[in-house]
Amino acid sequence: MSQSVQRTHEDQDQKQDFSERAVADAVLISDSIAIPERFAGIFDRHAPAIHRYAARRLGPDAADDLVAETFLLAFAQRDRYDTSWPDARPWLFGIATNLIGRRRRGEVRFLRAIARTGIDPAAGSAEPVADQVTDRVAAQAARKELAAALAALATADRDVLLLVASGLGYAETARALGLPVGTVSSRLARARRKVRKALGGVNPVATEEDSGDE
Amino acid sequence: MNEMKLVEEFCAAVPPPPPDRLAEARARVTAAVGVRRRGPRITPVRLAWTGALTVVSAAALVVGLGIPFGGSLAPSADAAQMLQRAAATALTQPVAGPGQYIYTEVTGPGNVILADGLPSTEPAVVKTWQSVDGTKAGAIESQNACGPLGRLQFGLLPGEALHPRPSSGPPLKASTSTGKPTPTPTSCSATILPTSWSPPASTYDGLKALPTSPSALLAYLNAHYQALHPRWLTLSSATREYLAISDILEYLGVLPGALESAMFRALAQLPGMSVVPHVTDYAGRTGTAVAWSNDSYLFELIFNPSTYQFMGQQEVAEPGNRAGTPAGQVVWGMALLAAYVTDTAPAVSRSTEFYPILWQDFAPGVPNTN
Repeated sequence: MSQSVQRTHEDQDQKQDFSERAVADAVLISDSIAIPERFAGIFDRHAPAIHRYAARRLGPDAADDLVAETFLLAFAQRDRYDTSWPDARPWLFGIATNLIGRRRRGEVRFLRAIARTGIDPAAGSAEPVADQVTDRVAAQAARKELAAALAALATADRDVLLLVASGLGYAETARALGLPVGTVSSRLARARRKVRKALGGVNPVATEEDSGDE
Repeated sequence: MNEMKLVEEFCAAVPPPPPDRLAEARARVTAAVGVRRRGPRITPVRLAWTGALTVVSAAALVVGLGIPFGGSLAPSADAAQMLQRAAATALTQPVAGPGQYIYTEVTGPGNVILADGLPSTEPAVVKTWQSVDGTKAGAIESQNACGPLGRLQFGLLPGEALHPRPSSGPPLKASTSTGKPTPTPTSCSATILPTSWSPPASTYDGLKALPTSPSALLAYLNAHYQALHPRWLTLSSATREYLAISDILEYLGVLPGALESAMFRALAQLPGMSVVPHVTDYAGRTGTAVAWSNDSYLFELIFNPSTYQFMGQQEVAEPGNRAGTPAGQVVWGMALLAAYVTDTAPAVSRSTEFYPILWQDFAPGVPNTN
């Protein structure tokens, strides 16, 4: 009997947990118009990803502030959320990208600092450990070149490249930036081409992949 | 390895933030959360800055010189929460670009100068066009019950010298044309008085350079005001901070969103802030105010109760105030009627005499007109 009661509780817990996870962002956002507290769930789900994205582009310290600004802005605009998008990630990444755009100079300074020193303050200790000293040196050199190449990109191209590299699909990136998907494709292709050129043509095969992007 | 893989690894190298790293951001967001129901958006409204307004404001403030800023009270949770919400809304401000103007339209008492040089207590509407980057002349025009009061250049251009203030006579005579409710004779001899804002960050672009973290902003304002207003050193730092923020809110109808947001978050840190749930502003609209008292006057920043957009400011006489003003009288107020970014400003004749008002004019001893 007691086991059965125990089992029932476990089932309920799982069910509650599952139902909580199953609620789409769009529903939480929509509910939060009447019950603002529900918006905290949006923060908890997505703040870590937004922080990583912002830290990549502006550095970890600036990211702290940017995360707060992103969610405050999102909260203020939640009544305009397009609920046909169940996942709020593109919307939030778009807001964060707009805010980063206002700090363009800060971003370029941050990238140039990495390009100059080879030290990436955003990477923390999570950088892949290279077996050989030569590998580490090579990785550092590659990072310098990459940071310099990213700093030299037009902001619009860098937005697309870093959103896609952060895990957004083409359609999601298009939604985030308010662009047609075709524009995302062509900007991504241009950004990749420029980075590739700056890195000295890392992979000539990639040129063929890109031809479909244009 | 192709370049996309490199960029992905560059992104993946950033570790997830530890939970405590997000704690402050979460606190800020949850403080803004808790709004019962978001109302319909209203046309963005913000304050304008006029010289005479500042004269009245400063005169009222002089009464409070030496009085501690609200004692050592902590801000009420309600005031802090409301300011956090206002800070969230401030981030939705439109962004102004180079070559554009900020248009601001405001009504309130005391924003025109009477022939005797004292601010009028009659209402007037003041419209300003301010160059975003300070590269073009702006304009200010005003009208009261008598009719239009004229239009002047607003703001200094780079390298432009300040004209000395004349020893006699107002700068511009009011129009005598009327057709409006019969005004008092003194009101009809009112003049508009343009001003320049003397702090270095005197344009929208200049204000963008101010710190956008609350503590850094407060430190900046404290240092700035100490340098600019040596005679205000007798005020507590919190008073200076409040006044500085109030001044910036007067200055432009559309402020850089990050700055305005930081200003409200900074106010949320100041001691002695309280909430006045129902306030009627000078345009007759209902709002909710965060307020601070110096025992003579209640200084209110008024917000739309649904959207937390900034609607204006006013200063209300409290019982037993030092100037003997009847309790409840609004001694100064600005109700923001409209504010937006625009590409054009009306022409102003360069021959129009330009009268800047400088901060050093607002010294202790300026008579309180009420």
